[in-house]
Amino acid sequence: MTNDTKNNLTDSKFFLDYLKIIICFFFVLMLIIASINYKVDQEKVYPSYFKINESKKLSITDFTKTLIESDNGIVMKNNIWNERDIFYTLASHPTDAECAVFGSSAHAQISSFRTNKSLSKTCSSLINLAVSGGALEDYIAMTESIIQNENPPKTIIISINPWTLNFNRDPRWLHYKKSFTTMMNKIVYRSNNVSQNFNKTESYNIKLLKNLINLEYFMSSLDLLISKSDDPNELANEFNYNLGLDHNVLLPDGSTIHSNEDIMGYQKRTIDGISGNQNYKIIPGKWYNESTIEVFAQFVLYLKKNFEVALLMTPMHPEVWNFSEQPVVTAMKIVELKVHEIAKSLKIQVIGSFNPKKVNCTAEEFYDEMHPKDLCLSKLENVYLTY
Amino acid sequence: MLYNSYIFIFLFLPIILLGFHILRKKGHYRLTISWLIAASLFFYGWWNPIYLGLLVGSIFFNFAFGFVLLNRPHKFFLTLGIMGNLGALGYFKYANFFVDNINTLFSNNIILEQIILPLGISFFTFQQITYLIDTYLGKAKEHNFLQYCLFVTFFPQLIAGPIVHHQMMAPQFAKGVLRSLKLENLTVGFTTFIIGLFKKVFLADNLAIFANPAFDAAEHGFNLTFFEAWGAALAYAFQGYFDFSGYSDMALGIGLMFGIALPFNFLSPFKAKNISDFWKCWHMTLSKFIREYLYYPISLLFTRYAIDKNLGHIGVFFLSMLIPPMFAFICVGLWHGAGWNFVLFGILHGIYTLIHNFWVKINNMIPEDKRIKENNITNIISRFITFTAVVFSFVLFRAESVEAGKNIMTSLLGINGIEFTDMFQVGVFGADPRMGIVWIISSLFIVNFLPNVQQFILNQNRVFIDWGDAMISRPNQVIKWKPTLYWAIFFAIMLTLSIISLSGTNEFIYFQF
Repeated sequence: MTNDTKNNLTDSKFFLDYLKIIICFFFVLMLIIASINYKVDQEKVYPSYFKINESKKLSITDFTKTLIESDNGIVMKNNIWNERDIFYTLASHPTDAECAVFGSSAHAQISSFRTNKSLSKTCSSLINLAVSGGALEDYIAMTESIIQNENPPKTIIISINPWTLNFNRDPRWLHYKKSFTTMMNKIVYRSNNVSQNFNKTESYNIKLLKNLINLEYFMSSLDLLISKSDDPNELANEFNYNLGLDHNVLLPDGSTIHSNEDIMGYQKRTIDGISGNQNYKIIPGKWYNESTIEVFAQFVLYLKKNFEVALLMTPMHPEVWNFSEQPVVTAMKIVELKVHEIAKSLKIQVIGSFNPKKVNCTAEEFYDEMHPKDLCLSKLENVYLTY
Repeated sequence: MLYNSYIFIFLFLPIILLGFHILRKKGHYRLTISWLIAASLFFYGWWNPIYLGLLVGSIFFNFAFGFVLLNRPHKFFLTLGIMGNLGALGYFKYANFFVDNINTLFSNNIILEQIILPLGISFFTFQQITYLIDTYLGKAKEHNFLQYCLFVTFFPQLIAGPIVHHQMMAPQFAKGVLRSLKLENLTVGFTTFIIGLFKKVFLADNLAIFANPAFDAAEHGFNLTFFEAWGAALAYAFQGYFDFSGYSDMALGIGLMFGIALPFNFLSPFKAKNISDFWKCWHMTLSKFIREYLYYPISLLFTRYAIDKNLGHIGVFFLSMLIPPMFAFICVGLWHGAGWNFVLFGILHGIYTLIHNFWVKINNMIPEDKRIKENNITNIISRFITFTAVVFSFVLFRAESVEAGKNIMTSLLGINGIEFTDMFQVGVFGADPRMGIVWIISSLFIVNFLPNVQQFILNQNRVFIDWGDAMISRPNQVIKWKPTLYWAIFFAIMLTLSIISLSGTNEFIYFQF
C-alpha cells in the first residue's frame, strides 16, 4: 500500500467519523428539544399518548363547572388544558347567560361580571368564548358545542376582526378541525366549493411536528420548566381587577383578567401606532374573500334559526388610526363597510366599530394597539345599529 | 423551494444526494446528470411551475445560439442571442417600471398587467449571456446538451447565484471527475452548508427584527431619530450581508456535496479598505461579470473614441474615467431591481468610485516620499470610511421608495437633529433597542474579527478550486477548521440552533433579483 493511499484512507476515516458525530449529536439534541416541548407543552396541543394524563386530576367538564359556579373565577396557575378545549366545553355548559360572545384576544375582556359591564344593553349576562387568534373557523367549530347546550344563550354575538372575513389566517382552529368539518356540513349548502379552501392548508399534524422543534416554543418550555409550580389552579378571592393577581384569572363568565405582571408591562409601553402587532394577519389587498363571506352568511342564517345574532367590532388604538397608510387601517375601513352591508342583508344588529372615535374610546383605554380595556369595551353600544 | 426550509433540508437534499451518489457509484453517468437536472427543475418548479417553461425555453434558445456561434462565430448571431436574453429580462423585470415612468412623464394612462418576476431570472439570464460571449470568443468549446442543461439549472446556483461561467462548470461535469468524488467533499460541503444556514436563519433573520420596523416607519413618513436611523442602517447592512453570503455559503456547500466547486461570492467585504476593494469582495461573481462584460469594453470603446477624436485631457477624462464607472454602477443598481432607489444606489456607488479614483490619482501625483503610506492607522481609517459609505448607500437598497430612503438618509446625516435623551422611540428600532445594539456589536465583531468561510474552511482543503482573480489573500490562520470531535460538536450545535429557528424564517433578500 503506498503512502498516498494510506493517507487517503486515514483522511476518509476522519471525515466519516466527523460526519457521524455531527449527525448523531444533532439528532440527540433535537430529540431532547422535542421531548421537552412535548412534555411541557404549554399550549396543551399534543395528545397525551405517552404523557401522564394530568387532566385526570380534574376533568375539563368539572373545571368549567367549577368556573361557572365560582364567586370570583379561577386563578390559572397551571396550564393543564388547551384554551380551545376549555371554551369549547364552556360553550356546552348550561348557564343563565343571555349571550355568548365569539371572539379573539381583543374580546377576551368582554364581561358582564366586571364593574364596567360590556354589552349591558344587549345582554344582562354573558358567557365569553373568545380564544387567542379566534377566527371564523373557531366560531363555526364552537357552534357545534353550543348547539349541544341544554340551556343555550339566546343571543350569539360574533366579533369581527379586520381579518375575520378570510379563511386560513390562523392555524390554531385546526385543534378542533373535526367539529369545524361537522358544522360546515350542516351550514354550507355547497361544501365542496368551500372545502377546496381548506385542502390547501398544511396538515395540523405537520404543524404540530414542526412545533416540537420550534425555538420559541422551546424557550417558553424552558421558562415554564424552570419556573413551573405544581400548585393547582385555585379559586380566586375578591381582588382588584385593575391590578390583577400573580397569574391570569378566568372570571366565571369566561372573560380574562391579565396577570399583574402583564398589566404593569402594558402600562410601561408607549404606543406609537405603527410598530405594534396591529397588521397581524392582514394581507394588503386581500381584505375579505367573497367565498368566505358566502360561508359567513350561511353560518349566520344557520344560527338565526335558533338564536338572535349580532355582529361586534371593537376599536383599535387611536394612534393606529393616525397612520392611515398602514394596511390594517385600510382593512378596518373596508371590512367595517362590508360588515354593515352583510348585517343589512341578513337583518341583524351591528354593535361597536373599529374606530375609537365612533365608540368614544380614548388612548388610555387600551392595553396596546389592538386590545381595549374594560372601560372602552363598556362603551361599545354607543354604536348600535339594527337593520 | 428555500434552502432554509424543512422540506429542503430533511427531504429534498437527502433524497437527491442519495440518488446522485448511488447512480454515480454504479457508473450511470448520463443518468446521474439527468437526475441532477430533473431535481433542479423540480426545485425551481416548486415555487411556480408556470415559469419552468420560461427556464426551459431560455435553455433551448441559448443552446441553439451557442451551437450557431460555435460553428459560425459571427457578431450578428451574438448580438441576436444577447438581445433575446435581454428582451426577456426586460419584459419580466423592467416593463412595469418602464410603463409607470412613461405614464408619469407624459401623463399617459397605459395599463400593463402586473408582471410577476420569475425567480432567479437575472441570474440564469446573465449566466447564459456569458456562455454566448465565451462561445463567440472561443473560450467555451464544449457543446453537450445535458451538460449545458446542468450548467444552467444546477439547483445550488440557479436562483441566486453565484453566476458561473460555462468553462468553470463543464470540466467538473465530466465523467471521470464525477466518479472520483471523495468523502472530503461531502464533509467540507456539509460544514459550509451549516455555516450558511446559521448565517441566514440565526443572524440575518434576527437582525431583520430591528431593521424592518424602522424602515417600515420611514415608509409611513415617520421621522427617525439619528440613532434609530443608524441602528436601522447598520442592522440592515449586516442582515443583507449575512443573508446573501449565507445563501452563497449554502450554495457552495451543497455544490461540494455533489462534488461541484462553485466560485466564491463574498470575501469579508466589510473589511474592504476602499470602494473598489469592496466590490471585489461583495457579490464577486456579479462584479466580475459587470467588470469583464460591461465596464472594460465600454471603457476601452470610449477611451479609443476620445483619443481618435482628439478630445483632449478633459474629453478623455470624461469619456474614460467618468462615464464607464457611472454606467456600470447604474447597471448594477438596475440589475438589483427596477426602481429609482436602485438607480440612485448605483449612482451613489459610481460617485464613490470616482472619488476613490481621484484619490488614487492625486496620491500618485505626489512625490513618493510625501505620499500617505499604508499603516495600521490609515487602514483603520480607510476601512471605517468605506464601511460607513456602504452602510449609508444600503439604505437606498432596502427602502421601498426613494422618499423613504431620503427620509432615513436625512436622519443619518443628523439633519433632523441629534437627540441624546430620546435616542430610541418605543418600537421603532425593534421592541428592545438594547438588544438591537447587542446584535449590531456582535455583527461588527463577526465581520471584522472572524475569518470568512474561505479562510476558515475551504482554502485548506483539496476540494477547493482556485478561480484565479476571485481570490484575494487575507490570511487568517488563527481559527482553522479540521474534522475533529470538537468541531463536529460545535457544528452539530450550530445546526440544531439553525433548525429550531427555521419556523420563523423569511425568504432570502436576493430572491427578488
